[in-house]
Amino acid sequence: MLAATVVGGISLGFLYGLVALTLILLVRTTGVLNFAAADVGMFCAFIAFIAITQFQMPVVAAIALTAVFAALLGALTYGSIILIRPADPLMLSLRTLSILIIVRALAYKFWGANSPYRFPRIVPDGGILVLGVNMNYTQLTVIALALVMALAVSWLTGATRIGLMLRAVSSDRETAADLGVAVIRVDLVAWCMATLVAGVVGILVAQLTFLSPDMMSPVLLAGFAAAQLADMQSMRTALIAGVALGIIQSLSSVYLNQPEWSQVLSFAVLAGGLLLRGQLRRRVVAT
Amino acid sequence: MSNRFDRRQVLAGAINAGAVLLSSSMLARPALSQGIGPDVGINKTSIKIGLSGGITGPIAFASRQFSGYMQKQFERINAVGGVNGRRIELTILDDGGKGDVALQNAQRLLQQQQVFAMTTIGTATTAGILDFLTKQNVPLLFPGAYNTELISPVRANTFALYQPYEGQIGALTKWAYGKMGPGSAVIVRANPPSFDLSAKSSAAAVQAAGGTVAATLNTTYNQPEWTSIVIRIKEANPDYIIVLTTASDMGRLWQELTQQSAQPKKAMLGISPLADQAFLDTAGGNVPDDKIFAALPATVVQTAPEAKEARDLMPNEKMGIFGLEGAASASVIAEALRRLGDNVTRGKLIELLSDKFEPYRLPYMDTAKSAPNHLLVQSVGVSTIKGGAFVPATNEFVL
Repeated sequence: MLAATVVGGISLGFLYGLVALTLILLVRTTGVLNFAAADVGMFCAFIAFIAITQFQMPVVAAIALTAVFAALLGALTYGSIILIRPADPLMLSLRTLSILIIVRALAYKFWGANSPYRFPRIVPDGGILVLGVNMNYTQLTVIALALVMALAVSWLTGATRIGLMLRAVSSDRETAADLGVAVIRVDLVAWCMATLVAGVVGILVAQLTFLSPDMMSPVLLAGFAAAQLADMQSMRTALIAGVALGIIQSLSSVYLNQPEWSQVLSFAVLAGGLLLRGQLRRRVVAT
Repeated sequence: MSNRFDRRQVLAGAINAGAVLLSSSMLARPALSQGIGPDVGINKTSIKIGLSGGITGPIAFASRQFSGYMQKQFERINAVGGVNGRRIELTILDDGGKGDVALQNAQRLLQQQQVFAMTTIGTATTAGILDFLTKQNVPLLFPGAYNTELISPVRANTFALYQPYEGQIGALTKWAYGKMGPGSAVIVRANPPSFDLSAKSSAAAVQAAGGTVAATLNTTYNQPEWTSIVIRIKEANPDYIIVLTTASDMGRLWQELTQQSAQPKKAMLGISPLADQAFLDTAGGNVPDDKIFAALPATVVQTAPEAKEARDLMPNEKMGIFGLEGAASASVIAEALRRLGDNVTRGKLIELLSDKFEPYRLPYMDTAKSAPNHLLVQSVGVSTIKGGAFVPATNEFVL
């Protein structure tokens, strides 16, 4: 039972890590903490759902369309939050709350009455035994796609020209601008990329659980916790922290039999992690 | 400048304050007393009924169906002259499945909309407004709710049509064990307190039938992930799984059970939401015949020929069990008002339903009549799934 519990937590944990990744990407480049990160993904998942169920699009075409939609949504969000009236990062972060409210309200308006929905299966039902534990194809797909996305973002930010510009802007915006980096274009790329990842996360969450306007609330919370544990800096640490959170939540759900505690646990892990990191830092400084 | 209080100013201020307090209390009193007046919400041409339901939120499908079919049934009745010349006007407010919003809706419906009577859809939310409506002595008529508190203790103003979950699951469990034999059971329940009695009732029925309860697992509404629940079920390897939650959550549980090859050895038993279309929609196409059994209070299966009269209310909609119940509740409300004639008051309605409502039968509902516990239809049937559709599991009532 323990092995199955850990495996069950890993797939959801990867999704927490991806949400943390989108948060860190934007904080590092634009300084903005995007409260709407997860719910934008939810909206994209609904677009994919409508494309498949109402317009009878093939799954691959629907996901491609959703990716384009996500990128455009990211650009729109960037334009409406940041470009329209520049402000300090705190104010810009608070503006993202309005995006969260608008996106969720629209989702409730259009699709709330009949929610939750069963998202069409991207992979067939069934599974395989992995080290004696039954993993279904959906969980395996979520883990595989999450790893691919994380690697893709890592490659993009670490080994490409645009990634170099992203890192330059995150290091020092003014100096980067003085050196000829098109800061606005870089910001736009960061927002589009973050929203694209969020859209994929939304579809994967809908695959694993259900599709509903409020499906991302627990995911956002855990994503924030994972991002904080990574100091809003390291995407690799955020991914690992997300997986750890997923496993802890799964263990608590199975062994404690109190499902409402899983969100409390996100806070507890976050608080504990920050405390521990603070203590370790003090010791390092002291020595 | 003198700091001394001017006695006249103080006296004038006190008189003004007193006048404000007195006038505001006089203004307030009509708003409160209108809630208990005999002729509120009714005139020569109309009768107002208020409904609070989770049109959005975890029970959206059930609420939309119940309120939608109720609305259509009232419209059908109004189209042929209404009830003794009066139109029935239904005002629906969304509570999102939240108890505090349901209470606000009830207050709004009584004080602003001035409705004559209330109904609701949602077991957890109805519990939150029972006391308020009882204090106001407003009739609560045949809600789409299955709380034991609706009928025990008996409330003068409250009348139910559908056997509470406690009675449903106890009777169903006893029947299933009698039919399929003893064995172990895992009870999966949503965490609102409204399911406490049902969980106890099903555990007692399992033990009375010679079975054992291997585990009782807690979930939330719209449980985010079911893998952890299914892991525990798989560990217990039960003969039966007894589910006490929403239809869509039951569907997702079944989906996960199928993916993890953890279906119960004998059957999954559930309260009436298991008989709803929302279960089939979320379970997908993996439901084998004669494996799912749901309690069916008061009405026939929604796909039965007798239910056509209700299905025709919305021919383009796929009617679930809650839609049928909405139509049934509307019909009984209308019949009760019709029997009162021209002289309709809250007091007379309560008196009629308490012990003078003679047997009334719809094609798709068992006979409704006054009962000491204010539950007008006591019976419970059983539905199952065959060929992907709901059918009766037995022609007899199990309660």
